[in-house]
Amino acid sequence: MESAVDTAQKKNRSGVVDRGGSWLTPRRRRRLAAWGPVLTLLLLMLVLTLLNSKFATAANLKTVANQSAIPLVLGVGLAMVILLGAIDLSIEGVMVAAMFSIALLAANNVNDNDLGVLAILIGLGIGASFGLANGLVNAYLRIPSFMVTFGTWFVGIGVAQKLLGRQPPRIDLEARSWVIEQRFGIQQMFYIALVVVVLGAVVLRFTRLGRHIYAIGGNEELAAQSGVRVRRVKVTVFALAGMLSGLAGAFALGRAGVADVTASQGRLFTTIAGVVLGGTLLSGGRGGVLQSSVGIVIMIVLRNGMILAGVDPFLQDAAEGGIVIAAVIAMNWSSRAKLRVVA
Amino acid sequence: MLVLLVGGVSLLEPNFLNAASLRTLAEQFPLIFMLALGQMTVILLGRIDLSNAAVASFAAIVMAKWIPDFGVVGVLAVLAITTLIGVAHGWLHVRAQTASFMITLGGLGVWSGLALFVSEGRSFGVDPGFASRLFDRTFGIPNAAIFAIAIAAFYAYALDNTKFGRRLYAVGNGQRAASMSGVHAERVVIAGFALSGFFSGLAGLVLISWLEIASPTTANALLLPAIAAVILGGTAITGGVGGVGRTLVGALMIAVLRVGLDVAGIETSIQPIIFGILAVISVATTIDRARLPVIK
Amino acid sequence: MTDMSAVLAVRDLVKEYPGTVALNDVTLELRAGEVLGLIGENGAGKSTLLKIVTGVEQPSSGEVLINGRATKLRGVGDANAIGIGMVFQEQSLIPNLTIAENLFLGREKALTSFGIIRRFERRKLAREALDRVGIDLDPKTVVEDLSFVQRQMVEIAKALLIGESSDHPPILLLDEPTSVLEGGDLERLFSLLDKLRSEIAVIFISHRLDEVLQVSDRVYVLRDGEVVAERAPSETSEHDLHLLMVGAEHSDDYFVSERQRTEFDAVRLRVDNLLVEGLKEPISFKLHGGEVVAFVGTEGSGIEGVAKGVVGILDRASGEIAVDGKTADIRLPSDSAALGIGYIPSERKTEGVLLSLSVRENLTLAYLDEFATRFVVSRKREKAVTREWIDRLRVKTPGVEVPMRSLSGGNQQKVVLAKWLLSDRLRVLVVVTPTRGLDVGAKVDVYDVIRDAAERGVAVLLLADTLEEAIGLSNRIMVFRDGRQTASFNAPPDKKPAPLDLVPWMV
Repeated sequence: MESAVDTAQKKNRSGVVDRGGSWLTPRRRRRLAAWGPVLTLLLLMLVLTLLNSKFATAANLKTVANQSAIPLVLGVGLAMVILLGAIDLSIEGVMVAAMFSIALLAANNVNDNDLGVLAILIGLGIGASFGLANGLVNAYLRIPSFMVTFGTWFVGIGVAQKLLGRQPPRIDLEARSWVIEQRFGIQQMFYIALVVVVLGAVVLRFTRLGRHIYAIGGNEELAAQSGVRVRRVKVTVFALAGMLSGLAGAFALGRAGVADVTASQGRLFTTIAGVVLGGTLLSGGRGGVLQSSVGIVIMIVLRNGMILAGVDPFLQDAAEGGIVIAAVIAMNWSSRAKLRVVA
Repeated sequence: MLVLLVGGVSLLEPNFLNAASLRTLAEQFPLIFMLALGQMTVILLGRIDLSNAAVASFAAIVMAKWIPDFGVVGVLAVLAITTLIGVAHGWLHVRAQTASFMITLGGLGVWSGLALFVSEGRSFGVDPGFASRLFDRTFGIPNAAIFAIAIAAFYAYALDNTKFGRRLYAVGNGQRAASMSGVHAERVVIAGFALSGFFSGLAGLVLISWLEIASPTTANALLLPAIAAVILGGTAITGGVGGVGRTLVGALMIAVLRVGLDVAGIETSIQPIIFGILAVISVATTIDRARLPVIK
Repeated sequence: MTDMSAVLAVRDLVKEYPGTVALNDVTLELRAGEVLGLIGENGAGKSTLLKIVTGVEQPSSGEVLINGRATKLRGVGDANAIGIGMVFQEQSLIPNLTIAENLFLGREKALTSFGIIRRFERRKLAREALDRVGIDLDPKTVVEDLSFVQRQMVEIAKALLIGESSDHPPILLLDEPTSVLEGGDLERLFSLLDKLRSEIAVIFISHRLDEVLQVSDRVYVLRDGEVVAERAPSETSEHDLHLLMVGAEHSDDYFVSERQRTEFDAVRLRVDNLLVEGLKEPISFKLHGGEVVAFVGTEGSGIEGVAKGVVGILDRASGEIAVDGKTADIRLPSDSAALGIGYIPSERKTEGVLLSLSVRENLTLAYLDEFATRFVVSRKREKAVTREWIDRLRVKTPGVEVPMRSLSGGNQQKVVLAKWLLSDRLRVLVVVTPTRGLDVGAKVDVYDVIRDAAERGVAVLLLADTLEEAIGLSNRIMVFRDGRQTASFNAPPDKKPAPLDLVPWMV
């Protein structure tokens, strides 16, 4: 008994609050966070293979890959924001705003525009501007990110609705080929998503920006004292996340061929749940893009499993909400402390 | 500010102050107001409930299904259920010490999903049955709405004068200090979420008695306006400051704005843009930054 | 005239807080190549001085000179930038980053090509920095995996790195660096200071006077916000320094000793086998009605844990608590409050008062039940009781409905005390540093209130701000060191022990 109190005391003094039991040292926790999601994914795939013969077929796995592209891209952006300790709830809104912008600028059936690649770049720019606004308001007006991005979520949807006009813009096949053209049976956007994931991982791991993101997530005040330009990093990260939401919008447009205000519905849940399941903590500073990507694939596989099992799609949505809650609670469990106040 | 807004809208659009639009206003307002009151309770505690509009949708659907068979008892049962939903959100939030926006965001997914599931994704007409009185109108206003106003008056009194109300403000102003003064802060927070659930249930009731149609998604669009109403009224998201009176003003402003925009012929499509920006601006002006050392 | 070799000096420094003067005309200097000891009791002004030197607080008047130049420090960042490194009790390393990342955080520019950090080069530089402080650690190690002393060494290495970039020797501020070190770790720190002594300038703050005498070249003694002595270790002793720290003794009536009780009521609070975070062995004690028992000990002695364990702020590993002979199940402060145990926290602004609520709302919060019939609170009754207590404790306030924010610290503290005293259900009062930051007049008022409580039969568990206060107020003193009780003293009004009697049991 005495020694237990002793170690608890030492830990407390050394600034590490660890209530998850003494075996869960920070090092073990990091290792668990890194490999736990991978194991979970493998286990999940094994279970689904055993339960449903349709799961482990090439066709189904290709579907899973195709479905992963958009969430993976969104996940890279959200993971960076969450690593700061902030959140971006606006991804669905930004996604559809970019989707409609691109649809109306590329070759489409509503107007005579045909800007080609430029349309996509403008779409990314629109996404980045939304993110920039999020970051500026969060960092300079000092408003919690969940509130700011909650606002821009709806602003984005409003912009999409405004652009909708009388009929949903449909783009020409040519303008969407970069997304849906297949390589090795999988749509090209999946490979683009993989590149984005790798780039995200490289930025986080090897660049100054990336390490400053971790520093801010670890302890914002100390980071600022050490000379990290906190506000600039925040604005940059939100802008990047916005740009990636724009890219997700471009993917969604390419896949469907037609812009749709509801195209992004439910993306936020899949992405948050995936990022958090991947071991990126909402409190910031822990986790990474690779782990989060694994978490996102878990969510996609789960959804695929539910579809194969014939679960009502509305129930699937409800289940994802439940998974968000469960994942967030589970990952946050060890940081609980007596009389701690969390808003 | 409210007077200015009404004045402004009626100047720009003389049609605004006619009977028809005033009636629309009277019908729009109670729904927003009920959602706003629930949201206000949670915001006074420094928390937020992103699920309350979804819970209202869910309540509307279940009430619509139960009223034909169980009448008023069905309504009361649904109110009990939504209160319990609030308790569950609050309990998970304080137990797991996980940000309330996150828990209730998950709740938003769960309850809107279930509302769609129960209704099979369709809107349907409501058969008032025994509960028809709730659907009657006095001077054109649904009884449920009048009922809602009465509840709000009672709630205003309660927040100001009961032990619970006082503890709610104490926790919202400083949870640690309140705890150290012997307030069971976690219980107060859970009760706050329970009230949010209860008001969502009432909002569901107002919704079906107003439209006489149950739709699984109608209330969802009101999440942001309701939050905007609370904050616009002057309740800070940092907690502890605000009240029913301010929320009444805020909800009226939002209702006037919504009806005003409609009357002025501004497309509904850009309304989310207006409310999104409005919410952020009002947060910016009311937030107590001194209480947040680091803003994430 | 400031000595040319002074790397850091403060001149005529005054820091006033509302209602109190924390620093009064302090002048001192730190020379290159020396270790400067800084000692003083709690509230003597050490931490205020540090806050000013690190830019956390701005002086009311006076100036800070770095290398002879008057310098305005606007924050820790500024202090860092001009070569002041600090090792505080709270860690200043970011736990989820590696040692190398921490050492160069914010200054990676020179180590970056095209946005990519040159990691191998940084690792090499980090290893050199670690070598200088003589620890053999892999720079890739994540900081949260380090032990406390390893972290401290890394912090020193970082402080030295920061200092190197300036035109003067690095300035190192060590605030209680030894409070959690023992044996070999302590020796390592001291030998490191010896090794670096010639190239740096160090301010060393500690409550362990033997250590201060061991490592310092000069010692400044602070008391009540003033420098009362400057001594060389060779010409002074621990005993001498203690006397200087405590100063002339206050007269007995300062602590209202004539009202101290000598006969007590029945046992109010019984604590058996209490073990909480901070204690190394379980303790038991009894508090009688009307008795004031002081718990004394330095940082890390565990007394704060005792107070928090009793009121349910900390979880108990073991321990049974009984109030008026009845076993009490205390898990949260709301439980202890319901049993008649009041708590006066040391963090008044965040734990004691609700600054935006009115005096009335603050005063009635703890025993709201007593103002309510069923659910509804009677505002009339609240106002009457609030006015009564404002008069009784001479609280200076423009009214009962003004926000707590508008009261001075001393008056706020009186409201905090009144919040518990107003009820007859109050049995035990747990009081933690009730006079911290208050001026002399307010202190005496607070002492008077504590005497009132004892007179009524309330048992008082006191963690005093100073040793003198503990002795002056209490009937009995329990002394703690490193999580264990080491001694117990009786302190009747006519035969008070002297501070120096207690000190040997504390350090």
